[in-house]
Amino acid sequence: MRIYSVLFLTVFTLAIYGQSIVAKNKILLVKEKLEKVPPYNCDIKVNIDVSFINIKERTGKMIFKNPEDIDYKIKGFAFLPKNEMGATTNDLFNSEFIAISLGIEQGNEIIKVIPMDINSEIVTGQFWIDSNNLISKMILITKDKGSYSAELNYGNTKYDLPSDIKIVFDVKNQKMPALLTGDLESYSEEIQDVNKVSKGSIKIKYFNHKF
Amino acid sequence: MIQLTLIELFKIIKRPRTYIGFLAIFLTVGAMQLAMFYEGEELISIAIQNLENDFRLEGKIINTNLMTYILLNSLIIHIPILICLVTGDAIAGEASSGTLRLILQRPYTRNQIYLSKALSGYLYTISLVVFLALMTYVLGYFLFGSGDLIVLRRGVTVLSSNDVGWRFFFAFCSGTLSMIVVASLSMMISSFVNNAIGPIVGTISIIIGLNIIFTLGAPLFKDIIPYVFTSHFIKWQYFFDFEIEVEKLKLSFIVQLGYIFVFNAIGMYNFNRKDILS
Repeated sequence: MRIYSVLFLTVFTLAIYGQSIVAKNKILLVKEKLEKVPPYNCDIKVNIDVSFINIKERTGKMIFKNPEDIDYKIKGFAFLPKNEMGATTNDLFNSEFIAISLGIEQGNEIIKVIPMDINSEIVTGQFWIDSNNLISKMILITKDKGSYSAELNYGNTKYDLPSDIKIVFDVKNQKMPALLTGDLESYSEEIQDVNKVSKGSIKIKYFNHKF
Repeated sequence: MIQLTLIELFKIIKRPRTYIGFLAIFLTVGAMQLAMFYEGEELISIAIQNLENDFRLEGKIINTNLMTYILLNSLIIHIPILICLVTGDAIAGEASSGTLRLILQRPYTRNQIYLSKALSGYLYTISLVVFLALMTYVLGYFLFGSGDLIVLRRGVTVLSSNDVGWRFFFAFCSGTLSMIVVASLSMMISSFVNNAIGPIVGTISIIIGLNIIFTLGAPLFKDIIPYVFTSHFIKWQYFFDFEIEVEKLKLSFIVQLGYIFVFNAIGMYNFNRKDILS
């Protein structure tokens, strides 16, 4: 009986270890694909959906040099995601991490990635990776900035770049001081749930890529 | 009537105190714009620091549109003071110098004289607001250039630079109407007294008092606030909402016209019975 138990535990551990290695290799393939993307620029359309922000669609240009260096030239003023998803995932994939496969969902393999560095800004990440080794969805949990998720769709762009991305993130309801904004009428209005965390989203469409 | 108004305008132009208002706007707007030119980024970052925590902000925040919007807030207290300097003096000043008796001997009714003084006061008011608009926009354009307008009112509203021209036009029209209410009030008070200081101090005291009471005590007085004339001094801000509340603006327009009518009616009634013999 004891021999069977030891044998079972050994096989189980090896299976888990093997699964982790396969998952990690898959993530490394994704990383390799991301690293192959050369500098490029493209046109973008930005739409923001946050309860306390009123802004129409913005258009502009994105200049990509590497995941750490992305520049935007927007016509007018725009709100963009604070943490570049590319840079964040890049940080995560470039550090030591453990990858665990959580199964398949609609043709995508779900892989949870946990950084080894206890001081890492990202606590954990979960990636939905399709058969072409492209990230179709990801959720990142950070230490200080809450969680944010992204859904990516791909067109027929070279280097398998996304054609659009929707980033959903936590955002605090904000009320500016009336004396600062001149909105003296706000004194008579009911106080909203200031600092209540709600979900906001930013959709960015990418097109006309030039490498 | 036109002749009378032109004479009153001539008197306004000849008075040195008329130019105090323009000089004050010139200095205030100039100082404010220069301060924003050098320290603006820091000041604005205090207002939007929470936004900067959650978003990457792309684009120029400080521009002539934002400066004009900020300086339009001076319509609440500062511009009314400058208007009262001239309109408060219209009747009381002439009463104290003794020239009112001379004017009333001429073959014009007292109503005509009162209205011509009111009209010339309104023209001065309009010229002061136009000067404020030109100073803020033109100077701001040279210092900061144009750009999208960020309004921190009921959240954050971002308006494209090509969508703000008409909003500013109507905002200045709304502000002008509010300032005409102030001019009417000071003219009315001016008809009651024989000392020019009274209408100036009286009007400013009323405006500041009402502003303090109805701003700090807003939850208590929220049902009567829409009918208090000082609450309409900031109605121009409605033109910078994403979806403009037309009904509220209509109500504001009617309420302010009502005040202008009532102040002028009381002023004329009193002016008709004013004793000029003692």
